[in-house]
Amino acid sequence: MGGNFTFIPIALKRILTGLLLVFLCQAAMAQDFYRISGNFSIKSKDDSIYSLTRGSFYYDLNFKKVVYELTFPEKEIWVLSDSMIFRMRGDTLFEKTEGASIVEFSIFHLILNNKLHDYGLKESIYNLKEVEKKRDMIIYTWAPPMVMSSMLGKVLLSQQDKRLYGLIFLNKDEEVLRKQFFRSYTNISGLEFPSEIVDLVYVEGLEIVQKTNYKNIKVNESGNNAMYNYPIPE
Amino acid sequence: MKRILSLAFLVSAFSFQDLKADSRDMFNFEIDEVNTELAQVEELDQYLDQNENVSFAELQATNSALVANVSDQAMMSPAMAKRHRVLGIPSWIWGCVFGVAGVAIVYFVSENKDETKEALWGCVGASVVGIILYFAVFAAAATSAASTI
Repeated sequence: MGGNFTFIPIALKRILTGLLLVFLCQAAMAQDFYRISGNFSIKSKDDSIYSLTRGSFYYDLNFKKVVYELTFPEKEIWVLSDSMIFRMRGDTLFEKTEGASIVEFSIFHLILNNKLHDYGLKESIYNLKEVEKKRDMIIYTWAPPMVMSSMLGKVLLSQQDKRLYGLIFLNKDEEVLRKQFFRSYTNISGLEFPSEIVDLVYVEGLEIVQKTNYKNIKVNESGNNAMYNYPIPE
Repeated sequence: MKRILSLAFLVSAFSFQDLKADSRDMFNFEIDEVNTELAQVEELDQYLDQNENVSFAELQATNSALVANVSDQAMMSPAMAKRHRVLGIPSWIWGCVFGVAGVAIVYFVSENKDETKEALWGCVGASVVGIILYFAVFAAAATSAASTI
């Protein structure tokens, strides 16, 4: 009987130790990712014209600005902020373009918010219409709301090993506008990052091919604040 | 009746399978084909890994083959590559058909350097073909004239 009494606290101690370890592991895994930077290289071919753009990128969830520091073809700074794109050479702003809100759909924002697996579609205007499993792939069909179906088409999203593999954007007539493939995932301090993205865009009967490679990825970098919160000229 | 329903189910099941097969196939792509398409700029990228401070202008000044047919404009997204074609007609056709006037139209309407370059190549190409044809016709006429004499 006495043996049973000593057994229970030992077992309890082991369970508590186990639970504590699990909790600590989860806490370590669930650390907040708020900042990401690295080098990029974008190669593309549009009809017979090639293009190469290289440099570094910086993104901080607190500032919500995607900052590109280009080194090739020319030294430039690009700041994508909310719905504006600013291009600067030296201290001079030479182009300011207005567009759709792009920061929230940048891969940096999606990765830091752990939303890349569904490309943020879950919290968008799109509705999940179908899920199908095909061999090693799960394919999700997202459709725009009825009121917008005359303008927007479906988006097909595929996952492999629970990671985003491909996206296919269709127009309202179900013709392919763009295909995007996310490849060569690397794990940086617990953050999954696709180090290669392939884009195939179909415009006016032409196929534009683009491949983006990322390297030297840093997560939660402590210095370099000036680049993460690059000042936007008035 | 049961048979008809079973058959209808089988047919619908097969057509459903077909649709599913299509959606999976849409995600097939060959990375080797993409790499082959981009081989030229891949070489340039590797060169810049070794020579980080070399600019496009410096390579262009030395007539480097690495920047042949490479745009001097940064391209961050394929959406930027949306062609600035005048009336949806390829720019080289403007240059080819309308010559210098076509190049000027592309330059002022598209306000795009690459499109203007394409129109210029169209203009040059048409001129070269025109000169060759002129000499070919001239030579043929001269030969026939000589043979009649």
